[in-house]
Amino acid sequence: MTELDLPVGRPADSVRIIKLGDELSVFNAATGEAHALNRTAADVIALADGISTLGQLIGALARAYAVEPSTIERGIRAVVIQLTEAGVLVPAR
Amino acid sequence: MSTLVSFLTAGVRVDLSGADGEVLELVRRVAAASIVDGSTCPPAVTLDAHAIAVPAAAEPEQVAARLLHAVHCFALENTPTLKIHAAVLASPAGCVILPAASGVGKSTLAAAALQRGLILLSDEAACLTSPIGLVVPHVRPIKLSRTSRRLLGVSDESDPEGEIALAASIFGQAAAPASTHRCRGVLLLHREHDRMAVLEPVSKSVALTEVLKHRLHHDECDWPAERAWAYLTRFVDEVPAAVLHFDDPYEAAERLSEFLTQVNGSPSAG
Repeated sequence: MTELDLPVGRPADSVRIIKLGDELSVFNAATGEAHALNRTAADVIALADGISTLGQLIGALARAYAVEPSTIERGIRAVVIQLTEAGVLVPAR
Repeated sequence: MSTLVSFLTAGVRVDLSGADGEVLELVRRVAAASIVDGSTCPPAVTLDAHAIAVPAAAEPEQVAARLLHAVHCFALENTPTLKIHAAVLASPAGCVILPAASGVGKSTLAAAALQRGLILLSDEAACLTSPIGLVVPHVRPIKLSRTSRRLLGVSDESDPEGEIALAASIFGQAAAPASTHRCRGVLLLHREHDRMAVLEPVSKSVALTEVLKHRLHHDECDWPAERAWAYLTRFVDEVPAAVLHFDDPYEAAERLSEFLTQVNGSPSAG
């Protein structure tokens, strides 16, 4: 089993996501911090259901963006790490 | 001379009644513009007595500045507004908040902006209240390094090293303590060496992130996180935001004036 086979997690219960102008903003009530989401981060959060693995998520986004998975894997990994470190994504229940 | 001397900042009135004449005289030397002498104001908050250490060789003005700083901190901690670590500057039609960390140059920029004719609401804290976007002044003496004092033209050969608090009235006009002002925009400060002052539009989501990051927390009168977020979300959605890249505070003050002219589109605030 590799990292790609592990679930990405899900949005924390304390997270609120809103649309501000043309972008999305995510607020974590537990930390009091907000984060401006680019399109990739917004898509990752939308697909993070606590069940989907990192590999499945990369595959889904690659199809949506019409690119090869290898071209976006590094970026998606970085986004998942950032969102997890910020407490926005947490392990599945 | 009345023995009831108080001053009003950010909606909180602090009474120095009971302080002896020498202390009151020291405070007046530094911040005469901040002192409201009267007895017809809202109920007062009594400053809890605590020791303020002063070096034995300190000049009276330094003693007064340290005392006043302590009183301003107490008043800010006890004001029931949403506080952001930011400078706030205004024209008669509205104000702009400039969130930034310590050391970026908020105070120097604020003093330069005053010299250029803008009005000071605060060089330290934006005190937001209801309805959305209403700001209460928190005027205090502006603490400036010797480098900044020389840049602003308020230093001479005898000027000592270190930070000194100077009354805002030395540089220009400060807002009346009991006034309120409509906030018309957010300017995020970004100091870069030798950078010409320029405004760069920024998205509302980035503005919200930065404003929340600079929120001031005090145990007394702190807003719950979700309440602060709900307020600031509506606030940034209603006003324009930009980044002000700068190095020279006078250039930054010019860009700030231009931004205020752009965003102010209605008659004077209350």
